[in-house]
Amino acid sequence: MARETRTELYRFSPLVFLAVVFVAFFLQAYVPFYVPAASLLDLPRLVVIYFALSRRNPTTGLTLGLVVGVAQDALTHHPIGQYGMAKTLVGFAASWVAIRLETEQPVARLLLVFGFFLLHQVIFGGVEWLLLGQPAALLNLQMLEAALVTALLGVLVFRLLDRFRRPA
Amino acid sequence: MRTFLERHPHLALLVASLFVQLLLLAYQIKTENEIRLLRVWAVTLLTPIEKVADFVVDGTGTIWNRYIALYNVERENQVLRAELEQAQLRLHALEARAAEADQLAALLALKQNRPQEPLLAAEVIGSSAAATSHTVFINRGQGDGLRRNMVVLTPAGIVGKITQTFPGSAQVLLITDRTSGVGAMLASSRVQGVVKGTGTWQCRLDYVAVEENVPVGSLVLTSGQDQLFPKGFPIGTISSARRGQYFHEIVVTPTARLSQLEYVFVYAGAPEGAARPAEGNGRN
Repeated sequence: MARETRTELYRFSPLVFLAVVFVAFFLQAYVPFYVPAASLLDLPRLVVIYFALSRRNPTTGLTLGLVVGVAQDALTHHPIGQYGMAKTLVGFAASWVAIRLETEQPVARLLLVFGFFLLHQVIFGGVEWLLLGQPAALLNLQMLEAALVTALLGVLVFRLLDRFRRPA
Repeated sequence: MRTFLERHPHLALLVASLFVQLLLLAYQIKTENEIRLLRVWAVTLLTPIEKVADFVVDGTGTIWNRYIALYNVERENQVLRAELEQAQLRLHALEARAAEADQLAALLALKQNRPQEPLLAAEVIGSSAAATSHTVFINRGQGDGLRRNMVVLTPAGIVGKITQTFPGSAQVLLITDRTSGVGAMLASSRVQGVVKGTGTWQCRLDYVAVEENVPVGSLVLTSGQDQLFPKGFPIGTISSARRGQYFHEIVVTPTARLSQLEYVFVYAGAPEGAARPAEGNGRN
């Protein structure tokens, strides 16, 4: 008997969506001010991955990634498009994966966030290195640690955000 | 092309998004221009929230620290007060030791500047029992070779002379005592006179003729004419000078701080027999 994979679509209130993105940016800008180690985390990245996985729509995923990424570029010293391209691709890829895989289990979420965190890092570093001609640390031990911590945090945050969604 | 767009709309949108951003990046690199408008919007949107949050966090922290979390403050206050008192005591002790070190350093310098002269260091251990007697006691006496009429001085100037010696101590008559007299001269003009004690912390310089110029602030030195105090040591500076009938009435402030003596030198070069009282005072 073939096992049926249930890939449910979810919707979010626009207010929830905006609030979550806003809070992510706010915490990303504010928390490292008091806890410098928190700058390793990338909460906007986590938000893009979560919504892309939940919506399971590549257009939504990449649009979300584009908007959040460009906004993040605007809030940093990076040229507009560097974070934008990385998050666009990650949003698209996360949605694409979510269509094909079960992504509701904590272990799956852990691995996905870990993987997409590193994918984002590779794209970001690649843009920096190839297009901007600047030295870039694509992957190192610190990045792996940050990916792991972000993945663990992601499992908890995803659980929290699940409360605000409803089936489409 | 149209078929591709219809079959893969998501992919087409992805490619378009990336292409636009790539162009944007290229534009920024080529022209070194920033897309400032986007940054202004983003920062303008986020900054007020950060300010409010900062205000809330700071306010909460202030309220908590100043009004709520006070259960340890009283005990901490007591501990801090005790520490402050201890620190103040230590500070006073250190200040006293620093002052003492300064005096000892000055004495040492005097000793080193006059290596050929027999200077014996001594500590002042007591003062006179009566206000009318300007004398002090030092911790050197007969056992150290001290004798009457030996000169006592500090690096700042002369102090007086020994009037009594005991086995372990000696009495020093200060130059401010009414019975004291020292042969003196003005450092600038070499005009000579006699410095006499007045019973206060000042002296007077007698026998300087009214024809002589006596500028206030001039340094007065020992002249050596009394054959007791060695020549050239500072006695004091002229505080005031008034013309009298034949002589100036001159007030001299001793350069040695006679009211706060702690360490002195005894000039052990004047034996008792050779000593001669200073001019005009038979009881010296």
